Amino acid sequence: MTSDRTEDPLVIDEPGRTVLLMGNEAIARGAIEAGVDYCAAYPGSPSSEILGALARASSQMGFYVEWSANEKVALEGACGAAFAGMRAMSSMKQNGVNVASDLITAMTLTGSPGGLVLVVCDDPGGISSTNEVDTRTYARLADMPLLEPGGIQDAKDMVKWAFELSETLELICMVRSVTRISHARGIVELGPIAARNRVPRLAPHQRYASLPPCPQHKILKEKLKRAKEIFETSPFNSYEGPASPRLVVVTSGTGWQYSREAVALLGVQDRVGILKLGTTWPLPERFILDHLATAPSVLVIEESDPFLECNLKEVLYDSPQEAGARIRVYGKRSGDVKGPYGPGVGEMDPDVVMEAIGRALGLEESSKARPSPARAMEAAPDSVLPKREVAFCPGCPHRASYWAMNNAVRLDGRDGLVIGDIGCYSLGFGRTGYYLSRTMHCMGSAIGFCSGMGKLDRFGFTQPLIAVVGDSTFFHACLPGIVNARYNRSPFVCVVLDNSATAMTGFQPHPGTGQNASGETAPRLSIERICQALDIPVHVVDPFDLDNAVDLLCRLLRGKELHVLIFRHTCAVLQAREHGLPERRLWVDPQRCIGGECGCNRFCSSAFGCPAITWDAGQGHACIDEVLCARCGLCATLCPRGAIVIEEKGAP
Amino acid sequence: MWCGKEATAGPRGLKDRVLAAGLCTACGMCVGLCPYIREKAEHVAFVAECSREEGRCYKVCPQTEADLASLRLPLADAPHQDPLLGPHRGVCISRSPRAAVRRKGQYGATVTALLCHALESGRIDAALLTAWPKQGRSLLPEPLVATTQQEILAAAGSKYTAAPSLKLLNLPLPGVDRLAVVGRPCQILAVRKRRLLPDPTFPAEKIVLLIGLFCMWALSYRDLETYLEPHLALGKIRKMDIPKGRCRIDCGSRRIELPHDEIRGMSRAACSTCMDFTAELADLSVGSTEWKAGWNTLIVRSAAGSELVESACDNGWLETRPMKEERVGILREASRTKKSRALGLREQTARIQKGPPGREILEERERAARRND
Repeated sequence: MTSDRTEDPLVIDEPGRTVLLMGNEAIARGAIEAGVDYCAAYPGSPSSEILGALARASSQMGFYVEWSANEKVALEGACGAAFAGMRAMSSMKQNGVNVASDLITAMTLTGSPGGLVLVVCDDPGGISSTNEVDTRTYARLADMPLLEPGGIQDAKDMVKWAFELSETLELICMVRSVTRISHARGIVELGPIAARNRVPRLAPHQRYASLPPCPQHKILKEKLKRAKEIFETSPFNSYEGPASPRLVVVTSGTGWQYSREAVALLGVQDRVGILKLGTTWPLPERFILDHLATAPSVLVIEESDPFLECNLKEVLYDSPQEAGARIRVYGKRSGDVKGPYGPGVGEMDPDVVMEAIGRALGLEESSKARPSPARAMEAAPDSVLPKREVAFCPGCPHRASYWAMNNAVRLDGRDGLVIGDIGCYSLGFGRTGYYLSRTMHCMGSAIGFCSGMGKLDRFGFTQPLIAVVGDSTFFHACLPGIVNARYNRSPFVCVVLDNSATAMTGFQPHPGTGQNASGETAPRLSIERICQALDIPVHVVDPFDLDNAVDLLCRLLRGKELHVLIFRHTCAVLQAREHGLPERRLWVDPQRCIGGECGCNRFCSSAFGCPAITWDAGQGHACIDEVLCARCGLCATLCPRGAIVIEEKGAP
Repeated sequence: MWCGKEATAGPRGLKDRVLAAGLCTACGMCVGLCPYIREKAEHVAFVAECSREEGRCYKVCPQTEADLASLRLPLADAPHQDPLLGPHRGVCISRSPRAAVRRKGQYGATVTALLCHALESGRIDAALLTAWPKQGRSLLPEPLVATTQQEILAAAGSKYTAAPSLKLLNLPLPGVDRLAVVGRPCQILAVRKRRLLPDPTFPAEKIVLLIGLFCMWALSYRDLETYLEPHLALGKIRKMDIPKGRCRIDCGSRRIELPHDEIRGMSRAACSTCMDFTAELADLSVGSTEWKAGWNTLIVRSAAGSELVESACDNGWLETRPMKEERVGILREASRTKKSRALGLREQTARIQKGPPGREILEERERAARRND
C-alpha cells in the first residue's frame, strides 16, 4: 500500500505505523481504535478538535457524531448509547464538566453497561477560558476513575483502554487532558482498529436508577476498589531513575514531560527519580508506597490544583507504621512549586519545575543558570515584542453591534449596563468592545444576571439592562433563562449576536446554522420563532445598518418589558471563506482627512478602533491597511468629512 | 458649576463640568462638531473619549466661562445697558395683525410674523426653527432650516422642551446665505460664543438675525414623555402652552391640561443655574404678555432688529404698542427673580465645591445685582 499524503491518519488501518498527531487527534484515534459507536460534544477550547477529527472520520468509519446543543445534552446522548450497550464518548472543556455535572453524579451511581468515556480538556492558566478550574476533583466528587495522559501516545492509548475499563466496571471513566497535550503534536504509533459489531438494546433486567442512593453508592465504592486493584499494575504508571533517589518527583499529565526536561537540564538524573502516574483516581497506593519507600523527599508536579499532592499526602499519612508520613513533600502547599502568580495559579512550565527541583535539592541558582526561551521573552523590551491586545476582526459584526450598543447606552444617559457572555463577543469586555461588558461568567449567565437585576426596580434601581449573548450561546444555555425572564416578568433587552456560527471555537455548526457535524443539511432552528412562541417581542436588525440599530435599541431601552433584539450578520471570516471579500477597495483621501484636528481627533482609528485603520503620524492622516481591511465600509459612514473612499471595482 | 476635578478647556472639561454635572441645556451647539458628541431625545452625550486637551466643544458651550464684555460688543450702541433686561433700545408689546398668522403662532405670533416678513423682503433666505413632529405619538420637536413661508408657519408655536436646534449649524447649509436663528437664551449665548472663535467651519457671516425667546426653564423631554406616555395615543400634537398655573397640550380633537406643579418638577436641572430670562444677547427678544391675551412682549436690542420691526410694521406684518412703566417693572422683577435664584444656587454650590472657574460670571452678576439694590 502506497502512503497517501492526503489520507486521514485517523482512519489508517496499519498497526505499527507512526504518524504525527495533535493530542486531540490522538484522543479521537484512541476512540476509533476502541471501536467507538457514538460521539457527542459541544465546542470548547482546548477540546474542540476531538469531535472535529471524529466527524471527518465518521463517514468512512460508520460511527455516529454530533455537535450537541450543550455539554449536558452531549453527555446524556453518550449515556443513552451506553445504556443500550454501545461504546460512547463525550468530550468537552473544563466548563462543560460543570454543565454536565448533575448528570455525572447520577451516572456514577447507576453505572452503565456500554463503554462510556468522558474526555475533559482543562485549560490551566485560562488561555482561552474565564477560569482555570481543575476538573480532576470531579473524579473524587463523583467517584469516577480518572486517567491523565502524560503525552500524545498516552492520550491515544489511555482513551482506547478507558472503554475497556469502563465496560469492566460498568462505570463512566474520565480521561483528563490539558491544553499542552490537546494542542501539542507528537509521534504516535497506531494500533489496530477494533471492529464494531454491537447492536444496541436494553434487556428487561437492565434498569438504571440512582434511587435510593445508598445501596448504589456502596456498589460504586466497591467498583472503585476494583479500579484501584487494576491500577496497581497498569502500564500507565511507571518509574524511571536511580534505585535510591534523594528526591522522587511524583507527577501526572504534562508534569511528566516537564519533569524529565527539568531533570535533564539540571543534570540531576543520578539523584532524582520520576514516578509517573497515569491513573490518578483512585490512586494505586501500594505501587506508590513501594516506590517511595527509600525516598527522603518527594516533589509533586501537576496541573493545576494540588489534587495529586493532597491525595498523595492522605496515602502517606495513612501508610503502615506511618513511614510515609515521615517523607517530606514539596509541592504547592509548601509553596515550592509556583509560577509568577503563586502556587496553584497558572500553568506549569519547565522553568517552574526546574526551580522547584532546585529548591527541593537545595541547589543554588538552578534555573537562572539556564534561562529558558519563555523567561527570555518576558525579559525582552516592548520594542522587540510590542504588546498586542485582543480585538474583533476587521469587518466583524460584533464591532458594529458593540458600537451600536455603545451609542445607545450613552445616548440613553441612564448608565445602562451591558452584561456579557461567552463567545467571540466576550471581547466586548475590552477596548475592542468599548469596554462595554460589565460581567463575564459562564454560558447564558448574561440572561440570568439581567433577569435578576431587572427585578430590582422596586428597590430604586434605574439602570437599563442589556444582556448580550451569541447565537450558539442562545441554544446552549439561554433557553431556561429566557423562559424565566418571561415568566417572572423581568424587563431588559436581550441582544442576540447572530453571526451564524460558533465562531470562537472554530466555526462549528449549531442548531441555528442549518448544518450538522457531518456537513449534512440539518433543520435550522429559528431564534425568532422560539421567542414568538414564548410571547416575547422580538426584532431583527443588521448591526451594520447602524442608525436604525441605534434608534431601535434606544427605543427598547426605554421600554418596561423583556425584548429580544437579534443583531444578525454573518461572521466576517465565515463570509470571506464562503463568498470571498467584496470587490472593492477602501482608502483614506489625505486631502479630506482632518484626523489631527478638533472635529475628528482620529475618530476612525482610535475611537472606532478597527484594526485595519491606522494613523500615519508622519503624514498626519488615517490609513487603511488593505491587507487587513474586510471592506465592510462601516468606517466610511463614521468619517465626519467623508474622507474614507469606497471604490467599487468591476464594471461601472 | 465646577466639579472640582482637573478639567481642561476641551472635551474632558465639557464632560466633567457640564455633562456629568447635569448642567447641559441641550442648546445643540456642540452636537455634530465632531463624531464624538451626539444627541438623542434632547440628551447630549460623548459616544467615545476624545483625547484633545482643548476643543471647540468646551469653548462654545453656554455653560462654560464667557467673555461677556466681548459678547456684548455688538450691542454696545444700545441706549439702555440694563443689567436686568440686558442691552436694549426699547420694550413694547406686539402682535401680528394677520389673524391667520396669529392662529399659527404663539400669543401674538410676533416671531412668526417677523420671520415671514424678513424672508419675503429678502433680509433672510432661511430660518433655524423647531417644528412639531409630523408623526403622532411624539412630543419631540424637530429642528429644521425653513426656507419658505409655509415652513415658517408650520414651525410656529412655542415648544417647551430643550430642542438642540443649533446642531443644524454644524451641518453644511447649501444655498443659505442669510440665516435667522431663533433660540432660547442659552442658544443665543452659544451662537455669540461660537462667532468669537476663529472657526472656519462655522458660517458666522451667514447668521444675520438672532431672535431670542424669553425662557424661565425648559422641560426635560424624557421626563415629559414618561409622564405623558399614557396620553400619547392622542395623535399629532398641534400646540403646547404653559400659561400661569397650568400646562395645555392641544392635539386637535383632544386637549389635555396638566397641573403646573408636576410640570415644574420636570424642568431641566441646568435651567436652575441660568441667569438669562430675556435672551439678553439677541437682536430681538420675544416672550408672552400674561396680562394681555394674544400679544407678545418684544424687546428691541440691536439696530438691525429695530430696522426689521419697523419694516414689518410698515408692511402690515406686525403692530406694536408701548408698554406701561409698571409692566416693564414687573418684567424686570421677573428677571431679577431668575437671576437671584440662580445666583443663590451658584453661591451655595460654590461654597461646597470650592472655587468655580465661572467665577468671573459670578462676580459680574453679583456686581450687577448689587447695582440694582
